[in-house]
Amino acid sequence: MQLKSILAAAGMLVAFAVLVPTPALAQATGAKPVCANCHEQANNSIMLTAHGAKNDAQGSMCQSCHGDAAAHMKDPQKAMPQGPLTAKDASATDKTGVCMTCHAGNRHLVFWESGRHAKNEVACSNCHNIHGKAGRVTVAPFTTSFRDNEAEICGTCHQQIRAAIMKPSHHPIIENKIKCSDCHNPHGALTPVMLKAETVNQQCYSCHADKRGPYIFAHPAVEENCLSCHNPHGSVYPKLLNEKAPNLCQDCHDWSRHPGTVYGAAGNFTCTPAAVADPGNSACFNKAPGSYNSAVNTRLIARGCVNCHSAIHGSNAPGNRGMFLFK
Amino acid sequence: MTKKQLSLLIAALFVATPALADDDPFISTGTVTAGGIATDVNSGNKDASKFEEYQDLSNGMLSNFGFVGRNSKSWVNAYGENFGRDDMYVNVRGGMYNVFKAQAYTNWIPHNFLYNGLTPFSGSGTPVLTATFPQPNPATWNPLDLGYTRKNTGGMFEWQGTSPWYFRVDGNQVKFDGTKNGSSANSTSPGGGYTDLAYPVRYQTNNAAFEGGYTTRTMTFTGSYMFSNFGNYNEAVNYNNPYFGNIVDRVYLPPPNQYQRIALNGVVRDLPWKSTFAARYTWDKTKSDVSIYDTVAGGSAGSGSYINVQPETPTFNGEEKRQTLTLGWSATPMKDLDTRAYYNWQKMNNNSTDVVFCASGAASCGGGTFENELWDYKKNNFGVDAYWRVNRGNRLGFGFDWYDIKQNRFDFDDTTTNTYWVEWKNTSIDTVSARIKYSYIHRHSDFLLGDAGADANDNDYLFRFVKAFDLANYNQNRVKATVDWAPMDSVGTAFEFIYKDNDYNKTVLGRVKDKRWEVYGNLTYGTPSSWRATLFADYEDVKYTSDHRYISSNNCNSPRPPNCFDPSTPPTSQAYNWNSIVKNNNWMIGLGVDVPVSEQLMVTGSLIYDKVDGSADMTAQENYGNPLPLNAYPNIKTVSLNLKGTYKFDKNWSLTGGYAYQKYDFSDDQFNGYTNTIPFPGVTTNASQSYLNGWNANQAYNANIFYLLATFKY
Repeated sequence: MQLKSILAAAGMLVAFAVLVPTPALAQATGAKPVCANCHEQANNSIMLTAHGAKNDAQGSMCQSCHGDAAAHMKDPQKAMPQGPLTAKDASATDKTGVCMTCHAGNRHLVFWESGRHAKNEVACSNCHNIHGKAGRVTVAPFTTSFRDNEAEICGTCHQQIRAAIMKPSHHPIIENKIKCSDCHNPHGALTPVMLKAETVNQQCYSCHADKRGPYIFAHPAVEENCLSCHNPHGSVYPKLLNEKAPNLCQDCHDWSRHPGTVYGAAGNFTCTPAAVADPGNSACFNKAPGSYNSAVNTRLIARGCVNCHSAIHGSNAPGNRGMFLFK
Repeated sequence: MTKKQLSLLIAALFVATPALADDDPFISTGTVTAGGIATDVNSGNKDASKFEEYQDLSNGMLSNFGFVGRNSKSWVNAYGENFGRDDMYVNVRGGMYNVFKAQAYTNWIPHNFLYNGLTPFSGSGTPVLTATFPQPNPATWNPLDLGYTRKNTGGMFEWQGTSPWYFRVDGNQVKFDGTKNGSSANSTSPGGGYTDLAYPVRYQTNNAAFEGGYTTRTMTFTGSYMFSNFGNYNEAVNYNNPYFGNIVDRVYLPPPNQYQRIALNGVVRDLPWKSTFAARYTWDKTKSDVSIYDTVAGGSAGSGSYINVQPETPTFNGEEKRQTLTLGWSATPMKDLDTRAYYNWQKMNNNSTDVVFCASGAASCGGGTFENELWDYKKNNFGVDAYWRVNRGNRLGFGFDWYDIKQNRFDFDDTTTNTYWVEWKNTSIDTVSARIKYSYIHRHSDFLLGDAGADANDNDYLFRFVKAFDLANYNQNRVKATVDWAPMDSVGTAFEFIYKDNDYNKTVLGRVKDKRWEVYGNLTYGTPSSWRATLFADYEDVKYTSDHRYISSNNCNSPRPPNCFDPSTPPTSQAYNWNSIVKNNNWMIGLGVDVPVSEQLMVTGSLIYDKVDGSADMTAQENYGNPLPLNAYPNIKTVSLNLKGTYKFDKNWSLTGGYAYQKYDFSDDQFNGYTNTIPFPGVTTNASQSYLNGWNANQAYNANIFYLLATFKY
């Protein structure tokens, strides 16, 4: 595997050197837009994009966003182009309207007006940076991915979500393996919180197809809403759970014997100081703190209830093995 | 798609692009990076899987490439990284402007759960796990690593040449290969213990979607069809059951399923009052057909046999059909007033097989009749919201949402949730933007178990008081406040505060309250030509409060008191109420700096510290049972340091070197003092012994990461 990756990397280097001997950033087809005479860096930043491709010598693409530049051409210092993208008091709707002139027919923007971003006066330019302005400094753990992370953009406003994705249990967003837009459509959607699917569960099943079922014996809370138990952005508990088992389970389930039993530190693997001091605790009383607890409770330790009720998302096991989600 | 095929595809793209360009010069820029990474992980002989939970951090080559190019007619954008590694990613997009666009990609995600675990079974990773129990000595067990790789490979083609009509095809395949942690109860009683199992994970999901439509600036009509087939190479895990005398028992793995979806969307813009009308209709069907096994492993401690559970039908045909209809109308009926009204309707019909086991209820059949419950629902939701710009610096928002669910769940069949919210946004000062939003939610559910049980001596009587929090009555208050202040061009600050509390006011047993508040602050400094920095801090506090009742058996015979299933009965040591408060607070602080040391050298650094303190406190009436608190539930500390320097030799060549340090400290009362058998040491005479593999038990690690990369850019 090591040799293959070395050969792959070397092969690409050779391919570049031999097959693409172009000089640095040659001019695009057609004449250089007049705006580039002064704004060369801005022109270079869009040269390789569709915006650059559609530009012409008169700088029509520049003017479509920045406004009519006829007066600016005559007196660059005094007459600035007046368009919503440059006007100080332009509303988000005005700014967005500039982009929508061309992009309104884009399939991603179908439900823009219905989305929360439109209602909260977020403009296209809040997230999209076509001239490559430097963004905020990245504060993140090391990852093997060197490409830009979409979460940095979303996290500029959704700051607590940005913190949540760095919690101990998280989807691989910070590792750049999935993106915010894998679940949400930032350009607008008809589902609350702009999910791409119609319901939370359908959104989760788009990746977690193994949970779709239907099962012979389903778990009603699972069918109702995955978010009853899980926090998709990040959690301090394993498996993105909102709360640990057994506590999470006992928040819905109570009955005689073990469903309603209190699971405290008396069931730990080792004897705590409090257990050692408790005369009612025959397993630990007067033992050394930290010694093995002969009354370890399998309903507390490790995964709690799920140690036995392991088919927590639903079961096809027959009889009571399925009904109680054992197997 | 194999790695070799990908390399050839990308090379062919580079060869082909000059041919595509004809006399229209093709301009491009690209980078190729190659180098190495070395990691030194110290977790003792324990489990460093957390370090590599979603990444391949093994020693070896690191590589990536990027290519962007176009002429006046066509374009290509390609990126790939981590070739030959378990977290490889490649994404190639391209097309001809206003004619078509296409994409091919592959994204590999490792998910590692356990290193250096132990298992008494042989055959881990297969559907047959073999062991002869008892296995009291973990020193004789087999080593076990748990993890799988998820590979998502696919592509897209979109035809735009007959605009405003378009047509699009998407397809991808997701393959999982490896193992994950599972377990199984040894018997049907918690006293029988449990056994950790390595579940084989060999899934394959094939997805295909077809979409077409008519889309212009003022209207869009689209239709799509999607098909998804999930397959699992393994129907079940068969393993020797330690409790039932090594009889072969089975755990059922996720069954194959098929999913189809039809969606119709429509949007019409530029209607009167500057309004837009949007509509979406979807129909989908999920199916899963399985043969029903008629036996389960049972018997008595040390002696196993198969019990026929007498299913009334040999096959389960699972089928759920859903429909949704959403209508939305956004309008600006007058200047400075934005409004929105929406309606959602959802219906789910569950046409799955009604399955009954042990209709006779005989003790030999499992001691009862077991029948599945099929859930379906109808949901209606409508809402309105409005935003009024009072003046240039002030904007008020109001909203109301009504949501009604009618369903056939066994505990609640009719739930209505009303949400009210108000918001004020102020931008009166040019450099400040502040927003505060308050929302109130009231949910009412019709509870169906209010008459459960004959009387307070009946076990089922307790259900009158237990309400599942996902549908129970509750009131929620939520406040969110944000302030962004940019006192000068190079400085920015942000502050965010969220408070939310839920009061499950009609719940006697179950979750009765939960509360969360969080505060986030951020400070940024930077100018384009100088150093830049970001400092942030976040603190979150979460608390769940719940009430419960313990009764030592399923009847109120002595020593339990009469009416023991009524929570208001005076407590005894055999029947009493108890309360739990589960808390966690999480605080995080981070600093990132970019320093252009010189024209050639850029240094970046990032340091994050995260601390979690979790606990659970229990109190019982008369302190019966003397419940002891869980003080590490969990307690976690994470330190991440990330330093990188990039030196540019010239406009083409640069060298990047980096060092990262990570430390993860983990303490959890559910795992502290972990043993592989319960009881410990293991014994040969206990059929109720539990066998544990070490998952999540020893996660702490510290690691040093070094990397050096050379980059060629043109």
